[in-house]
Amino acid sequence: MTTVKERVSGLFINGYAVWIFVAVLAAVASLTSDTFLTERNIPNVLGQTIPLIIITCGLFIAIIAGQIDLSVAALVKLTAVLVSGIGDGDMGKFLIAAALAYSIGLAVGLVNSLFIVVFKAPAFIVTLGMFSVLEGLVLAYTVKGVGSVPTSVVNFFYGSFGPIPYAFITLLVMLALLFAWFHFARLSLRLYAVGGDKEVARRSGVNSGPVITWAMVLCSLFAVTAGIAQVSRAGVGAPTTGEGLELSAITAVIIGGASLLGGRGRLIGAIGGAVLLVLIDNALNMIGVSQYTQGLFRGAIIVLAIAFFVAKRGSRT
Amino acid sequence: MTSWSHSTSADSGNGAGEGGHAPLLRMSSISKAFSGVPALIDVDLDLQGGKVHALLGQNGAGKSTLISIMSGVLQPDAGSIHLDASEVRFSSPSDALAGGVVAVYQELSLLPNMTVAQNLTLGIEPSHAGFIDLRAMETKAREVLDVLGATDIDPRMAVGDLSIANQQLVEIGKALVRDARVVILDEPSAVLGDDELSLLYAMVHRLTSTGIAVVYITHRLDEVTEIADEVCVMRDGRKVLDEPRGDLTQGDMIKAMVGREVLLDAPPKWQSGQSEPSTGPSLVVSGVSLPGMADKTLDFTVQSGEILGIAGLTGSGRSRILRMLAGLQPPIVGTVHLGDREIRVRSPRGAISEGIVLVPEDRKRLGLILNQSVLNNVTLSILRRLANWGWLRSVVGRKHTYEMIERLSIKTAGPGQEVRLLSGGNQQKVVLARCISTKPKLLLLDEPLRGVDVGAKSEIIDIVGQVAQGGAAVIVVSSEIEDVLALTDRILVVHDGIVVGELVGEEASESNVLSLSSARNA
Repeated sequence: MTTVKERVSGLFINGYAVWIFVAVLAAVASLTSDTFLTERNIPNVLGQTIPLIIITCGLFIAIIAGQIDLSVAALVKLTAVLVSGIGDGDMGKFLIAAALAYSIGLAVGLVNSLFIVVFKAPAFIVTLGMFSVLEGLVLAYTVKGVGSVPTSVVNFFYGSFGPIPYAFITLLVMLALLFAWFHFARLSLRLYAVGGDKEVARRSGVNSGPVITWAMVLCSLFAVTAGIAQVSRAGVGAPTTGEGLELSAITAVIIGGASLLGGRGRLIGAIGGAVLLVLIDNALNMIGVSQYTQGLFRGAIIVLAIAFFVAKRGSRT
Repeated sequence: MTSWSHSTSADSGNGAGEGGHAPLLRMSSISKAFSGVPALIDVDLDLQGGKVHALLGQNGAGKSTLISIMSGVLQPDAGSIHLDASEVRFSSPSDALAGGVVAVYQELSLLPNMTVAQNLTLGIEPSHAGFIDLRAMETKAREVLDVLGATDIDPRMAVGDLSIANQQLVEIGKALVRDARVVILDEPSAVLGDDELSLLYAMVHRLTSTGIAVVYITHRLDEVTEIADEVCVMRDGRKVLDEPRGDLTQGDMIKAMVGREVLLDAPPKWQSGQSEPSTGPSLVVSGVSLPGMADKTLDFTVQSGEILGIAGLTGSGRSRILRMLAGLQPPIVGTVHLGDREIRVRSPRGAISEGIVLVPEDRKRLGLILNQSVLNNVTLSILRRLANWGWLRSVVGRKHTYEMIERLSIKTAGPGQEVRLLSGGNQQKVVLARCISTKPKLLLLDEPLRGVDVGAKSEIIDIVGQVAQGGAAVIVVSSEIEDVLALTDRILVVHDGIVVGELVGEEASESNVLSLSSARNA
């Protein structure tokens, strides 16, 4: 029979535990601050979660497959400046630029996996290199904010149904599809298998190459999507867009109970991790911690949370 | 039985039933060498559907290489494989799987975080357009589990939550799901307890009754008598016996496994003689239970200046004895005296300060820091002695390393050379140098001669002998009985955590050790 201890560890393995913390933090913030639960702040927090959740989904896929992708934030940045710069307020050009960004994302994912799969280079180094390349491209294109995003797109991001932004509803639909995908897709099972043990997968007749390629490509495509969301919220693309997002996303995935070594974790947990990170930032703002010391608190909370979550994840290896 | 069945195996079952001349799988003149060292020489093997083929042989006899080739993990240098009389080429495990050849390895290859159904169908998930048919997947899993008699396993359980015996069952189930026609079981009994064996046998019978050919690798000869239809013995890369079990006795099989050549190739023996042990017992182990074997206790002593050999099958506890003494699996249950005082070691560091060192089984992973220099490796355990107030006296370390290189005749470009660049024998000498640098009172050696060439072997044997002569107690564990015999004439045979016999002098022969350690309830 399941003991209490096993049940608790099950919560952590299945990624629900982080949501308890989200609820607690949200409750504490609503009680201690009069501005947290306001019509201004709710849509704001929900909106802020969108890019991070999207990019977290992508990284989650890569991490489950036993990989890592450090190039995602630079891809967000590149997407942002291209979409804003080329689009320059015009809907038609905006769509063309978005298509261009997705093609670049596809290429980035393929090049990353080429080096990982064919040349057996570690994903950490490959994607770190890709990060530099993409950063370089961004700065070659522009060193300051360029162009703008069509107002209709920006309005879509700020318009809301009650306190819930349209964009957030769109995100929920996307996530529902993604959950279904994780539940039913053959590829998702194989992500877990390859991330869990490449050799076991190989001996069962699953070759890791195509699986890893899919994971890296999907991760890049999610990053481009996050870039479009981010620049649409900002209204204008700048070379500072999305700075540090990759680390936040990795943190979110790990807080959500996934293993950095791959093969273990649940999407619901990773998303919870992303929401928790945004909440922490928002709560620190609300209780008036200065911008300069926020990093200190944020980092401390994250490290404590991870130590706690990893310790609680239990003994199952 | 359930409705579950599949046509291919039923067909081959019929074919084999009619006297069994048409082999299901035929391997002809298979040869394979690793960097010039032959592992298989001209091996022929026929597998009949519906029969259990026991594959026997000592470590290094070529069994693993043979099944790796059969299952597509390795490719042969020469020879051919025929499946149903048509030639096949397995260039990867997935080729072999497609041909119906499935290997179930000793180290189970399952994904603990995934469910039973997911593991069973991994790689062949029932799906439409990339989407899994969850119901079909679970039904299939359920059917296979029922065929194997595992009605109590829920396909939705995580594999990591199953017992080892049930995990093995799932592993064999993987073979069934794949419509296997040849199932290779690599020491399936090694991970099982006595009570789980009957389950395994029943499962094997179920496999053969559907016409599957089973290759059954084991070191336990009573299992062969129990289950095998055909017995095939390998020795030094050649097939030396291939007969129906019939009247074969265990003695016949042991004789085939040991052979005569082995005795000729045996490494030179360490000539002790001069040093009379001893000043009384140095190591006294009494009432000690090994981890995971709480109900069994061990008693033995080793004199100072003496070398004791411990033999036994994989899983018998032979290596665990050493790991326990070396502080790798604390705490010690029972009492251990070294010299005249009782010791309680809780960590390798504690053991080293008590004068106990272990030369581990896997030198590359556990014995050496491969990408560092000979000097760093040799001095790793004695840095405290080489340091003054935390500052290393590098001249002393260098001098010590030169002494060791000289004493053990380590062939190296110098103390600065990276250890990974040395040959296997010289790497082993570096491990030994690190261990004897601590001036141990008790030297523990796990597989000290594995993967070491003949020249280095005799040098290592000499060094170990000298350490014993210097007054240390020495324990040697090896799966190669001849290696143990090269070092000592006193051998304890262990089985399931207890000492089942002690062989001294003339009695200490390979066949005696084999028959003692192979008997299940000796």
